[in-house]
Amino acid sequence: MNESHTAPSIHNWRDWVGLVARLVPGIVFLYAGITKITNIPLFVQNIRAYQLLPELWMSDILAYILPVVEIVAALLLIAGLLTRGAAAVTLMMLVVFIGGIAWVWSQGISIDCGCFGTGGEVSAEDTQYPLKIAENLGMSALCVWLLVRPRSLFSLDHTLLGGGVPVSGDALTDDDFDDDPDH
Amino acid sequence: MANNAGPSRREAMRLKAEAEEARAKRNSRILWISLGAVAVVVVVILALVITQTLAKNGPSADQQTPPNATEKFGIELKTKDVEPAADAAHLVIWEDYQCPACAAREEAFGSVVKQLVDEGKITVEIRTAHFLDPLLRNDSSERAALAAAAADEVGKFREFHETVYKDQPEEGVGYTDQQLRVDFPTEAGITGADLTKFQELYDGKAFADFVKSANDQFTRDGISGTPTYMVGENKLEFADASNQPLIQPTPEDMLRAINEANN
Repeated sequence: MNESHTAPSIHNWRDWVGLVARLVPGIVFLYAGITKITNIPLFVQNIRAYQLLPELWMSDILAYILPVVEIVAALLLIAGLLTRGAAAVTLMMLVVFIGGIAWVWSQGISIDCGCFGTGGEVSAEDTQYPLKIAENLGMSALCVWLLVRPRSLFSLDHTLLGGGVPVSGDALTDDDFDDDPDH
Repeated sequence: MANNAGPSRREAMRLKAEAEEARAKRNSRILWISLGAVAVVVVVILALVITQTLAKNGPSADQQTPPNATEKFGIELKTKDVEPAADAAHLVIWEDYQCPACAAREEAFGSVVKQLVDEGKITVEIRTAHFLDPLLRNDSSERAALAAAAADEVGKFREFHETVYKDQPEEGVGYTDQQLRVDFPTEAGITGADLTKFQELYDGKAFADFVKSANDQFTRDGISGTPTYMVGENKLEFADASNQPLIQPTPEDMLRAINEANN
């Protein structure tokens, strides 16, 4: 039967996976976005340090756009509203981040400022690149799950829109008629 | 049986029409929520840009360049007595006024570098970034750089530069306006009409564009930290991986290291 016309259920393990797939990237992105948006000049500098964009003003613009998109997408994911769209946007950001980390890693770029009494040790940071990429790949997998199956527990999508996002015109099936008491 | 087909089919069509209508309603709701989300993103970005722009006091329209400015937004240390030798190596020093390592380097090598400049053996320019400001959540590096450029305008860059590092507070404390526009210039020997001029330039942020350009150049050149001493494309290494010094703080050894890097 077509499950898009039944409510997400706590007895369906896939609806639980959907909830986890919303909350994990949602909370991570909300935190990351808030960290960035409260110190935009620092984020400008960090993006500049990636030396990925040809012009500095492009980094500056991105530093304003990215945290806002992160936070809005995260809130949508956490609320379970426009789940599929929010997952798509989040996945795009994750892909860009993975590319960025791989780029910095391959170029050996690192800001060591000689500050905070650490002497700007770089090698310790090197070991974090694989971990960062693994984290982002994990969250990407969760987003892909939501793209394929946006249904999940406790979502506003279900409350406001009543069910999953329509994929095609096959919403009406025999099951619907079977439920009809007049039949 | 045959007349059962009629109402049943009509019933089916009615259900289908209702479902179509429900789906259309849902789609329009999705559309509106999506537009709402996009609108929120746009409004917040605009609000951010506006508040960040307003947070910075606008620099005066009359933007200036310090007299000893170099092409790549450094400030040249002038020789006191002699003209530099024709084949003198050129040293570029990248600094940030809040960087403790810069203060330590200045303490150890500052007098050595200046002696070599005054003997005409090398030429030196100091380029100032302010990348520590966002990390330390203040604007002290940038303001100190503005003040240093103003000091160059009244011929006291070298003295002002020394004073800032000598009186550098613990990292993160930052510089007060009182220090930058009264205490430090006075200590650096800027007095009377020069002090008034210095303060006008500092208060009006007359060198804001110059200081920003230097900070941008820091990124463009891919300098990863401060202090960084560059001779051409070569970075001077002051210590090896196990922290053993590679350059002694004597004029002879410093000159040797600079000339080696120059070749």
